[in-house]
Amino acid sequence: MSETAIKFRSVTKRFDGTELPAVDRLDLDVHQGETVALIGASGCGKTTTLKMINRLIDPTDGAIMVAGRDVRSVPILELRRSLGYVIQQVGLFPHMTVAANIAVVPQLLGWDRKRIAARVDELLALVHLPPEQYRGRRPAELSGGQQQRVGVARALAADPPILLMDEPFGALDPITRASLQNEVLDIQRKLRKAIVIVTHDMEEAIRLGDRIVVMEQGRIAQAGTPADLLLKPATPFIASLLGEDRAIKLLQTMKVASLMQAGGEMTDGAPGIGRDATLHEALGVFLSSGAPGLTVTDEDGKAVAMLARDGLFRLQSAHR
Amino acid sequence: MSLGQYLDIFGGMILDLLVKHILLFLVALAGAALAGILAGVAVYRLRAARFIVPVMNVLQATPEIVLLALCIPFLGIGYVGAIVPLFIKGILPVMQNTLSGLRSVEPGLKEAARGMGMSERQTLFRVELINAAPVIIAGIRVSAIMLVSVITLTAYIGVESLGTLILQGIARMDANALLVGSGLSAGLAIIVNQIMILLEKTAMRLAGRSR
Repeated sequence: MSETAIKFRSVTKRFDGTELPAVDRLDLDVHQGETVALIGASGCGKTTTLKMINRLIDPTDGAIMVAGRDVRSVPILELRRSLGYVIQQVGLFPHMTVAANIAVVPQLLGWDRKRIAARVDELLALVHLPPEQYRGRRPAELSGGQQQRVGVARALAADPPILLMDEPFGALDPITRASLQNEVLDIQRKLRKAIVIVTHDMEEAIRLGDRIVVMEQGRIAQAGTPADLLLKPATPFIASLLGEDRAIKLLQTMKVASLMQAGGEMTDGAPGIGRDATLHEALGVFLSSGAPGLTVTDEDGKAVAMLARDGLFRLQSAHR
Repeated sequence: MSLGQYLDIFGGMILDLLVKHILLFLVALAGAALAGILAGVAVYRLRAARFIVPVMNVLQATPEIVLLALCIPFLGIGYVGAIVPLFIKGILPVMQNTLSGLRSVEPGLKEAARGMGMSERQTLFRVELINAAPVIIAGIRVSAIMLVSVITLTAYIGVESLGTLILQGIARMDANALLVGSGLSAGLAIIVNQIMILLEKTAMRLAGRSR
């Protein structure tokens, strides 16, 4: 496994005047290049867990290490400037232009003007907002989705190795949310950050998370890859979070390539499907065509293997 | 004597009183605005400064004329005795608006500022005060309108202002003096109000609140 970006060691947080701890002896490692989705009902401790990383909240007990250093041993402002932070309310400063908003952390770090200007343009391009058109605008002149794109750009400004996201897309409509999720996937493919994202949306956790950590009453109820959870939810509560259609969601997380049989019997006239398509898309083709098998094609459209319908139905039992 | 003759003869004196009135007003307002913002920030940031609020409330409930009279034994009559009680009366609206302005800054902005690693001072100056500015300026406007008319009272303790004309008018049953004194005071109040509204709008625009 690659190096550990964030380590929680038996971390407990008790708020004054509450009986139960908000976070209870939590152990968790987040590796560089990995996206971990924290999910659970409100009050389960997921946001508290996130905010203990950049010390907006301090733990009562236990230790948190970022890049191998105990967060309490790093000067607090230096720590926060070294971590990207995206929040649900976006929190763009309305009195500053888009460019000035993105420049906040580089400015705090004392970068020179030229370097900041170049970085702002680079980031605007990364989140698909043409710089010459957007850098001079005020946040009030942007749509909600554009504002959060700027929010993401701002968090990435000083190129932090770690990105903390607190329900970043919760206030957006479903279409905008999906496009921003894709953008985060894209950015993550390019930049390989360690991302911790808090969400109450299981679809989001499945789409973005390399691992999903389900929290209940301050503890980890289950942690694993989306496929792990979808195949074997540990408790009825987690099963209900995943939904009755979790078998179908599982198909969304898997590629045709993972189930195809090379050199299987090729049937003439069988419908085709790309090997990078999801099994969910393959199911759609099975349903609409009624064919027992599909021809799997590569990027150039050449037939390379076949996918049997029965394979889809064996998927669940094979993992049990 | 007609109003025209009156203005002809006393024009110089009237102008002199008007200038003195405006100067008194500017000094009292500047002091009140500064002290009000400082007090507001102190109460917002420091638990220990909370005592300021009830003290200011008591002072605010005291009529201006009583405050003027109470100050005489300590400050004597004259400019200091006139400006200090007025300035005190001017603080409260500014302090209250500074406080509510700072408290109503969107929590997301404060959290973003802290989360990105701004110090408390940077958060205050770069984010909180700027976003509270329209509300703070509205408080200064309330103070300004009150001060510009209340300053007429300083005439009672021998400090010249437009109030001097009003007192003369009452003492001599002189309609001209009364008309000019109160008319100019009222006119000033209207002008001050308009200027402050303009400032408020500018601040709103700078804070990115209008589109």
